Amino acid sequence: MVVTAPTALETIYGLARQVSVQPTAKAGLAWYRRLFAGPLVRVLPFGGPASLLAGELRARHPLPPTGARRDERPKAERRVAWVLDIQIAATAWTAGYGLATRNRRDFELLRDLIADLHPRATPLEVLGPPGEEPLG
Amino acid sequence: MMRSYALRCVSLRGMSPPKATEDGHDLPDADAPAGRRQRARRRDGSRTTLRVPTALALTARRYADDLGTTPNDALIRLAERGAEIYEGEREVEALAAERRAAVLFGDAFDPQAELPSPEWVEWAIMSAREE
Repeated sequence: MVVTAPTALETIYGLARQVSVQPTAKAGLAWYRRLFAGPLVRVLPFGGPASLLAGELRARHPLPPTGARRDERPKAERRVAWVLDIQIAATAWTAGYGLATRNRRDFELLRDLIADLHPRATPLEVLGPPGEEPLG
Repeated sequence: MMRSYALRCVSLRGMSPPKATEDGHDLPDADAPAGRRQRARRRDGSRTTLRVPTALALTARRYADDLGTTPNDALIRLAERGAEIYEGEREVEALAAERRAAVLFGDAFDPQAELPSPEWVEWAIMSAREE
């Protein structure tokens, strides 16, 4: 399995933060740390080309898209999440991969922004969860 | 989609794999009768003879026992799995090269690039943190 470095970052961050309020979450954190460090998962680095692309993407769309469904998170948190999503899309795309995500709408926007910047390169493929219909 | 491979049949007969690893662990007995083996399906492609490394031959025999097929068939199946991974890696690397080139030298590349002033760069960098 392949994940991007920002994906590993947000996973470990979320679990590590849980540990501070719920010590039993420590085992889950340890499990994921071992998974990401082990041979079953390849963590794609956020490298040079990805950082150049991510900067351009953020400049084109600095704020997270406003969703159809209500997002309960504070505005600052949504902005951090949007920067991570930009980094995830840039990392996957420049490494030659597509993306599997539950947040298809935002990543399809990023796919379109990348295609706008680099129209001659193969676009980012965005897949939803198994069985989900493509967005219209 | 798997392609057609030239490798069709590899003989493992006459090989004498070791009974134990170098650190003393027992290995499965290659001469022991296998479970219910079925005749492998016939494949298209050319015949060839290869020297198979001992460790790979042992894996092929274990895999053959698991599947109830012949060691030759198991070896081809292992090769097909490896080939699928290899083709996937090639495809990903080709896409990555195309996309990296687009970012580094392609559509966004401006031949009239010019070093901006330090003040302007500082303002630009800080603006990314202020939004």
